[in-house]
Amino acid sequence: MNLFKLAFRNLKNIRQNVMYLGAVTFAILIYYTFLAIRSNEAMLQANELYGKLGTVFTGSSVILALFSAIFIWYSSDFFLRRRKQEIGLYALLGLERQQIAKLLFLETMGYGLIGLLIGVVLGTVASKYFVQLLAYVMGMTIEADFSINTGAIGQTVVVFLTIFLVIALRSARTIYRFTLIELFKAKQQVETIPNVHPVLAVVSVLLIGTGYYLTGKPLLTHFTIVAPILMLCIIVGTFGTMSYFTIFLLRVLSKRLRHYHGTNLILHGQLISRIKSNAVMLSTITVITAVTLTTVGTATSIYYYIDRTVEEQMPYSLSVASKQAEAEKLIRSSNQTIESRTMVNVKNVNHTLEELPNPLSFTTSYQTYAFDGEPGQFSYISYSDYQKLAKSNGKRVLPEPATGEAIVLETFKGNELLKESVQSPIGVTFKDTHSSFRITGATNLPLTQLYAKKRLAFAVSDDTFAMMPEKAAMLTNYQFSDERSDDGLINRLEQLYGKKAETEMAAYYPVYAMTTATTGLLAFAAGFLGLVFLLATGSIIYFKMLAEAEESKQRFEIIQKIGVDPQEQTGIIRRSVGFMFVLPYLLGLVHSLFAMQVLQKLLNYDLRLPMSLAIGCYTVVYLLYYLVTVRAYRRIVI
Amino acid sequence: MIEVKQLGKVYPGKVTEQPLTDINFRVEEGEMVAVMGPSGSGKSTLINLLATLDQPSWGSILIENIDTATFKRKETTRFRRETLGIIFQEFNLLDSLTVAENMLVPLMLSGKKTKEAREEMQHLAKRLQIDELLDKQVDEVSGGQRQRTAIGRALIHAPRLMLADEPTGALDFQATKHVMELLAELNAAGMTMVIVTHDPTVASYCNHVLFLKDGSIQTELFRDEPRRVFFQRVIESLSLLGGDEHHLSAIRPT
Repeated sequence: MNLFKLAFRNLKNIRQNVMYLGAVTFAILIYYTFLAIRSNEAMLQANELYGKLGTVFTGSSVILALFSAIFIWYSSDFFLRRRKQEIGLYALLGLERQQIAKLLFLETMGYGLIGLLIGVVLGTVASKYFVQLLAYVMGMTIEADFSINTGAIGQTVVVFLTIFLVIALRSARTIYRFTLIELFKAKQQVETIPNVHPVLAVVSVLLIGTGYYLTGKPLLTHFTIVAPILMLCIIVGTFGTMSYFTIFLLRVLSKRLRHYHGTNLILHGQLISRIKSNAVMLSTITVITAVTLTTVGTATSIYYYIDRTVEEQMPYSLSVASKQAEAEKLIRSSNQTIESRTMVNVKNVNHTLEELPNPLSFTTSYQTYAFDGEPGQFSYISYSDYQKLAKSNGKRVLPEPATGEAIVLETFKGNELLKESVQSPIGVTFKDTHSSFRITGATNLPLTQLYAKKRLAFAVSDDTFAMMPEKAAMLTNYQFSDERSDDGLINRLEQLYGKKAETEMAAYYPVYAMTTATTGLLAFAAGFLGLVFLLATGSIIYFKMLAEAEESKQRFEIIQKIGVDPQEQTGIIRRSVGFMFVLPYLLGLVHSLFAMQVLQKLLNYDLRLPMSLAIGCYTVVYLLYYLVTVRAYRRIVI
Repeated sequence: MIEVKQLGKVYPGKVTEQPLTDINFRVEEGEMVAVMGPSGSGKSTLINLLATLDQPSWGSILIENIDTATFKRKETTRFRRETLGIIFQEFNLLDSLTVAENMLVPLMLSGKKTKEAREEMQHLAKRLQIDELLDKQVDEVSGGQRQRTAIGRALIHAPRLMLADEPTGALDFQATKHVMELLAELNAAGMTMVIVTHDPTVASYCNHVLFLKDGSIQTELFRDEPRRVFFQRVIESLSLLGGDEHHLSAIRPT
């Protein structure tokens, strides 16, 4: 029998290796699907933006490829470990090392090719549905069909053949790496019980603590310096904790007498004998979990608050600065009906930064000023216009400012910075004639959405307003019945304004459509990656635990014989598998909560709900993995 | 103590396993019984049946007048934990635990207070002369020491019945002697024992020997003479039965 035949026969023994093949196929399926979505014709035609966002996909596909490599590496390791004895047997039966190496190489490549075939076929089907899902979150309607994408197939084949080549070479090396006796002993490796390093254990935990502390004020004030230090602290701390602190913890527990009760003694032995070799895996999983939860949480949060983001930018359905009558005619001829109309007379004045004493210099954060000291533009409105605006926005109307007084207005919804910064009325002195105002109150009201940058406005008494020498611009804001749809009205309006469209009109819909598409795509990519990360982490633990189960078979046989009934054995399995799942999950979760708290400060949104959603989904799948692993473990040892 | 009636065990579909067809014997309380027979005669099967690790195909095993077949799962577990102590040829120690922890397992399973358990364990370890090794991992100690650890584990909860499957199979001459003297001492203190062995030296320490062949008990010997004389009788019976005797002829009692 030649080697090809033998390899083929081994491949046919598929039932034993179905998990391995499944893992490989899955990795390929995901990768191909991702590429296929990226170059989907229907999507490319439906949205020009889609093509431009290719970088999101390119970056993600690189991460995916890396991940697939790690993932396949782990699963093939399990696969090999299970077969060490068989490999030893071939050697014993007189196959030469070179032949065995060739055999293993052929087998690994064989599985790779089968996986590629199945993965691409399934990926073609899956991509159709994923494209539809993507179109949905991007707020588009398209009809996707099953299309075969040669470019995506080509890239998938090249990437995975490379991965398989590396893995196959490693498999082939197995026979050279181990002596015959080691191959036969593969299933009964006893690890030396690790020493306790209390100092390293404490230092690791302190490192994580330092990292957490840095996510507070230090990060916000010196982002560029603190961020890398923080990452380093967390990652090194995580690895240290998993390597030293866990051993320390188990050792301390074992000194406590109660710890030994019932089957705990056996469980403890089971855990501590493997902790050293599991430390790297546990830390890797912790970091991945943290990254996944943070990524998915961020994406969910941003997607969740799309409406709010757009609403802040575009408080009205439409604002125009001129040609009001023509614009209204166009609106009436469209599907939209005007629900409300507010008109505001605005006078714009340029002030240099020096003209504004503290604390109004905080207005730099409003970016009204160019950074090179150019004057910034401020808007003034009359008190009567202010009253109209306040009423139509349902705000409390502040009393009329007297001559030399003003109400300061934040012109956009959202960040209520004013409340913090202008606590008491403060005089503002300008060099101009009409320049001295005492601030009598602060509020936020959407004046208009025509000005691209956030700016401050002042409401002054009608008389003062009338006396200001600047020319007043009449701005009209409309609220439509259905601002989230468009039957071509926006296009017609843009034609009406021609070249002036950018400065004289600003509509809600284009911003909404674009924001939804970008955040939708981001959320999709993050969700997709998150799913892959989650499945990868789950599978890595799964395979690692199954490899451990194979090695623990004998131990369970022994405890069965000395009177530990299957129920108690299941308990031991549940707890030892649980330990592997819970430890990285909890630490990763805390890591991500600290990361999200930074995000929350930056965005100034309440992220609890979207975050809980992301964590909830993650936890459910993770829990499923735990249950599946316990089941598989049980089937091996009991 | 033990009453085995018309016991049979067959393995459908397996030709390699020798079936037990019709086993009958009694073990009185305080007896030390050896089960001998050629390789593959079903000795281990018999001990597994006695230990309730396996179910008989027919017949019954009464231990302390209770049919083990009537045990529910919980009762089986309790029986194994309380009444029974088992010593295995391959020691069957948990490599993930230390010598002391291995011995502690049965007490912990029965829910004994850890402090008392430790005291008992230390006491026993002294008797077994392994008190110096308590904190070592089991793979750091010698074969004889491991077997003594295993005996310690089987003894620690003071079982009324001790079953041993080739307890000296993996031991050298000196260690065998040491272990058998220890077992004889325990038996003298009142513990009932059933030992499966192919070693006539081991059998000569017992006071009742069962010879198993072709699925049933062929001969029984009862000892009422000094050990050396009894040893000769065991050898003679083995020769009569045929089987392992050819390589035993050179063996003299120790």
